[in-house]
Amino acid sequence: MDQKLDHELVHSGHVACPGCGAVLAMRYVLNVLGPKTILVLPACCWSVITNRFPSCSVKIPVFHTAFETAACVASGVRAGLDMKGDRDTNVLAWAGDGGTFDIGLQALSGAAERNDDFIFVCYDNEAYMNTGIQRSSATPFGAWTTTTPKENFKHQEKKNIMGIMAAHKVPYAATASVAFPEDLMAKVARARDLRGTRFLHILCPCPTGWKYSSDMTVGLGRAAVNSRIFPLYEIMDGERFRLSYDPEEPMPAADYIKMQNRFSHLNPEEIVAVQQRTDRDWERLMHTIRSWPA
Amino acid sequence: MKEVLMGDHAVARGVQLARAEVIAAYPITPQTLIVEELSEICARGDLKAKFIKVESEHSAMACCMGASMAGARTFTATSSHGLLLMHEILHWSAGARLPIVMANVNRAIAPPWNLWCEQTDSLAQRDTSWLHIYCENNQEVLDTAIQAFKIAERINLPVMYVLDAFILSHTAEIVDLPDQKDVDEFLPPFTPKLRLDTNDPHAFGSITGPAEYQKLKQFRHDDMMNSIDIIKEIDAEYEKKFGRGYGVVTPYRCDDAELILVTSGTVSGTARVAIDALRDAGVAVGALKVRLFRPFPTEDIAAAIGACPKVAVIDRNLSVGAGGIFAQEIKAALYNRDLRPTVIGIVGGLGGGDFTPAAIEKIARRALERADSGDPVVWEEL
Amino acid sequence: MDINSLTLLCTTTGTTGNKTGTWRFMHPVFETKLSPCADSCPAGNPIEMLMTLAGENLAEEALRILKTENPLPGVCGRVCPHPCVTACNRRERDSAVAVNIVERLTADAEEKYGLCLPAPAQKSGKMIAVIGSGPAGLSCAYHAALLGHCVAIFEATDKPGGLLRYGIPAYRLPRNVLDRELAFIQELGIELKTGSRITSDDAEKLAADFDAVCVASGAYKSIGLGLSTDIITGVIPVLDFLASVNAGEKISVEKHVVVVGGGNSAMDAARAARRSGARDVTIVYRRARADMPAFHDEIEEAEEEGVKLVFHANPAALIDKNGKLKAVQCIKMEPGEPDSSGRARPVPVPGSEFELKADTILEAIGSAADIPLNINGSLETDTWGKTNNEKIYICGDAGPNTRTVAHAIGSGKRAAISMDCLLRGGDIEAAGKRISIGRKGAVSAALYRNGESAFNPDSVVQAKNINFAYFKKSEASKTVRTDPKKRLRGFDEINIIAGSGASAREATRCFHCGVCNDCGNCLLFCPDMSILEKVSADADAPGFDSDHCKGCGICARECPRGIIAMIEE
Repeated sequence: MDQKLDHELVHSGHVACPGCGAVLAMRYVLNVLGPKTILVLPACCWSVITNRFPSCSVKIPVFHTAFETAACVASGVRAGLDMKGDRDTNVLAWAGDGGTFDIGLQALSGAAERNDDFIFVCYDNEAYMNTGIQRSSATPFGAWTTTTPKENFKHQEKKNIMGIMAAHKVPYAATASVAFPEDLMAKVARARDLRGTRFLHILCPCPTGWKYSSDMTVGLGRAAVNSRIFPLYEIMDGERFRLSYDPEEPMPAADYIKMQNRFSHLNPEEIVAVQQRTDRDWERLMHTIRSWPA
Repeated sequence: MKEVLMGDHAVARGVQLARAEVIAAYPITPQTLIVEELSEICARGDLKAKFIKVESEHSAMACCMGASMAGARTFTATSSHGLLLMHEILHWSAGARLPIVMANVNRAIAPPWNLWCEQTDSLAQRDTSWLHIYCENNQEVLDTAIQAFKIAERINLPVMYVLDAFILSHTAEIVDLPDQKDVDEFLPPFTPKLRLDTNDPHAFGSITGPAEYQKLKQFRHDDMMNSIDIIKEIDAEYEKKFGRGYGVVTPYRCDDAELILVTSGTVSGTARVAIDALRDAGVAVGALKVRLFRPFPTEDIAAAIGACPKVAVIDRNLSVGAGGIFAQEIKAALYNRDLRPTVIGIVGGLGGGDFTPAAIEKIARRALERADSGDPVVWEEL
Repeated sequence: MDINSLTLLCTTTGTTGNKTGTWRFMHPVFETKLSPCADSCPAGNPIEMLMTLAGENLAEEALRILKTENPLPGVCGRVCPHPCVTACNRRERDSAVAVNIVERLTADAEEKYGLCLPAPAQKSGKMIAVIGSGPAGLSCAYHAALLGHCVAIFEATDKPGGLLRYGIPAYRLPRNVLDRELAFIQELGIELKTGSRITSDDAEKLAADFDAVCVASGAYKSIGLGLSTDIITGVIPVLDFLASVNAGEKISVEKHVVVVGGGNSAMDAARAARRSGARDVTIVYRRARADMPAFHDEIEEAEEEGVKLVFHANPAALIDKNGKLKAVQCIKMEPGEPDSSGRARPVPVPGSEFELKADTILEAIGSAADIPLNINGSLETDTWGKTNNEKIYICGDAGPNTRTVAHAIGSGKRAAISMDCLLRGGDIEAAGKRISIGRKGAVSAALYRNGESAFNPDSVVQAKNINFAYFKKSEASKTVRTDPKKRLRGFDEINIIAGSGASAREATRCFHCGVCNDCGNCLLFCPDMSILEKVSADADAPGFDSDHCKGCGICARECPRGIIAMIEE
């Protein structure tokens, strides 16, 4: 078959929710990085998806660590390996949006500023899903979560983590979506072949937290990109930009919103506001990409 | 070879001799001289190590965990708030059974700001499964800096050794530095029992059920308790090779004492001066220095105290709402034994007050006069 | 187990022992399904496979598989109203796949590769007579010959083809295309007796001399207008008119022609009249435009060629001058009560008469069959065309069948297969279950011969089962119509295909509804790695790992072509 992966490094029998986008992300990333990879895993859904002792659902070494520490532990693992003469093994920090945007941001900023040599993947399901769907700074405007109930849904926009990483001038930062696996894997390959702090922001739809039927995970990953709410692009050294995909059939934000019950309380004005923000952000991104091409 | 070294620099030289491979540290007064000296040592290439200038102490300890899991000999240093910030990861690294070594400079905790000597910072970590060693002088600091790695790597638990803020950290003393060759013989390269190895992949720290979790804790406790003999063994080996050994407790003129003063850190040295003066005056007092705090050396302390009827513990620390921490631990340790002295808990020197020989003499005389232990905390204003 | 204080910290096994299959309440079912095009093709064309081969530029192979089912793809590609295109799911995405264009171009590859006929079956030694060489008779003869029987065709006129030659004008179906495809007659050793009209006198001898007889004589008995024609010339049955035109006879057509009727014959005749010089051609139809049975394209083309259309009108009386037709009096019609077909029966509107100048009237309101054999009085047939006289079959327009070329071809194929069962002792009912494509009567000769079974006839893929995200938007190829003024100068083909590569380009637009083509999406997008690869290259579809599949349904969603359905457990 065309799309059989070279390395299937995730076992069946893991305890992720049916339709979990984060598992797809792990499969694709590990397919490119291969078995010579060490996973640094802070508190997040994947802490659980690796399953209970004595079994583990990934076929590579895993160090479970505290919530805030993905980036600095990864720095340490890299330093330790280097001192042992191992420059080949990939060090992969694998954090959710909480462990990247919020509690993990300090360590990530520190490592990025030092340009420590590892790949940091933020697999973003847009809330603290593992602890039961509480809001994070990655939760988009308008979303219901348990800490932003519909009477007081999230009013802040999603934090621009790519902008933050660009400000650190890391060698490579890119967005990706599990619905575009070829693009995602090409980006992992590019990251793999560079040195320094490499950052991937992967959108992983979550049936449990976004409240949709589990079969639509890939469809939503596609809709997020086609509605321009989650554009696919790369930033090199914080200052050169490349658009990965210009949606051939752009989708209105309203259509994306209607696919998920976490937005079911939004009224038409609020949905229009989402479209306006999306258009504005897209315009700004396009302007940046045109002004600073790769 | 003898040099005049401040305590912080003794730490740095000890770390260099021990050939640490990865250092991740964040500066905080009065530890700063450690990281500065190590930066220079590494920059000059005198120590082949990666020095990661992390952005906080929490990250420092986490970074050490990563390096240690990758199989590198790992070190950090901190003090006071930095140590407190590391608290979560102290538990984690010990639970992960990683042989990380840390020097902590005992400094008071804010608010209000106070940079001077107090032991509450390290003692507040007593439940984290780290080993604690309290050093009396810069020579001991240097020697412990080397021993600590051997102990940690033998038992797979992290080791913290402490030195008093400014009294040791910024005070120069004569320190005899062993030769690198001899240290290499004493302390061979680190060969980890646990490692992140793509040829033999495992997950470390996965969700674990109650039965196995408790088992792990039990193993950890047993291993730490068994480490007392191992510490003594390594200390004896060190003494044989380098001529200096410290044991886990050091009694001084305790045999026929009517009162034993229990101390730790630099107070121990001052206490011996006071003891000599009192003995000269005909007062039957002795001093007991406690070097090892975790694991708590109950047997050694009991043996040193023997049948002495009265013990005054000098705590330069406080567990608010309970009392001085060494006093607490000693009372608990002696409670079930046949010989139970009166234990007087003296708390003083918080925030850096100076224990002079005269002050200690006064403490001893007052303690002797007491009929009973008195309040759980007997305050001493210096 | 060696327990030391450190081993409890690290995991030792993978997770495949954890059977997460117990979580699910639905599971995927992989089933190759019937595409709507195949479901709608009366001739049983293997459309999906045709698209695969044509899409890979394998024109010769494409032609070969077409020919296993249909001897006349070049005809069908031009004259069929292509229900396959109407049914095509791609219609909902951008525009339907132009199956007819692919069929036509594939057929025309005969010029390069020859007829590409399948190898015939072993000879049976049996003899079959086919009466009539229209599409039904030709199809019956073709399939019967391929099934190993000895066939003789009795054709009343002097050339084979029936309505293909004498009904459909050359601008729709060029003669060289027809003759090219009819070369199979000689190639398969079928005996063609032209000029042999069979009457009921010949019937007994035929029935005695042959092991089976197929009546495919069409429906040529024109239904008259029912208007008094004692003294009037100029009233001509449309099929007679068309036969003359298509035979190349010199027709002098008068200036004013009225064609009564709304079917394809009416269109063909009107347009042929225009080409033959008639200045003023009007079609009169008693219902509305939307009710016309003629193909939509034909109506458009007729109007482009200057044919006028008058709706809701019927001829009431003929007006002559000295026995020569001068005009036709018409009356307006309006919908009345529903008739037996369920449609409103048109009724005259009193006092609404009007006149149309006419020197020729072509009667095109229908025709009936005229069976030349005596079949014990009953003309009823089973679904295979067999009458209650076991040896005698009726197929095509001669029987109670839908009257299109494709239906005729399908009908002839069914008769041939049934005859084969009769002659070789096969079980036609069992075969029928196995070889039926959908439920509209199409059958597959290839399945009949290779013993395999058709896809589930109730499994037709709908557009909502297709995932459009995997198919970039593109517009269908179109034929280009020549300029109407140029068209009228003669009978040259008017629908041209411009440029090369159109067949492959169009064929790659096919979704392949319901047929797995190894895209691997299911494997790629399963979060539980629970899709099992095909066990062999021939296997229809992947399977699923029952131990671990959680029933999330992503595979069903992301299958581009609707092979996977989620079933509740």
